[in-house]
Amino acid sequence: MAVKTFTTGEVLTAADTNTYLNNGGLVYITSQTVGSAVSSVTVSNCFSSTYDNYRIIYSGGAGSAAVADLAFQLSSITTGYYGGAFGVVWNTSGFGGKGISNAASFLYAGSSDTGAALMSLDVFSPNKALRKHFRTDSYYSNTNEMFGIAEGTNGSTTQATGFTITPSTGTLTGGTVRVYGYRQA
Amino acid sequence: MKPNIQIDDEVREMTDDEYAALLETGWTPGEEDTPE
Repeated sequence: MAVKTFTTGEVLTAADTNTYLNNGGLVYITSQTVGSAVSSVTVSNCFSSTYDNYRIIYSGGAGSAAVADLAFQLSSITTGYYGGAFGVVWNTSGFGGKGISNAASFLYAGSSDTGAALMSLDVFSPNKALRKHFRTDSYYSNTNEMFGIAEGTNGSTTQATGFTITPSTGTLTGGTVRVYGYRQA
Repeated sequence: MKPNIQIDDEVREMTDDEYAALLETGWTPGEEDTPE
């Protein structure tokens, strides 16, 4: 969907307004309210061939456990996740890290504790017959006392259509998962 | 007691098979401790 440059005096039609007003860099696709005490949340049918890459944000909720990592799994891809989380250890200012090796999910997509749950995740090529890539810019680990980022990959060429978020411990309550597509033209 | 599972708008208690699969991932029920 291309950008249109309006000229001085040009008539702004309803059709153009409806088309280009929504034509931002991140295009809203869907959202899912998270229920009470759920051990996982699945959002179906949110990835398609319309977009190559997506951003997924989960906020506003909380976990039942004092600390939990949020794992992200693409639909129909249950193995072969690699990557790692790395960041600064807040009480020493040193560096910390955790690896992901042939796991069932991208294990460090986000984090939760009893105060909040947060995931801000980019997913590359989930619905393409290509290697997938993941990048989160909002990872923290109360256990490791670490703030940082996490990246991962999966070599599957399966074309995923949805995903599941699962805390490593306990459950999630409340908040909203929102899915956006990166506009391509 | 098995936890709930959410698929899109549906929230329900997990089946025994779903719970077994969840436990195989290393998931634990956790405790409601106060974070640091």
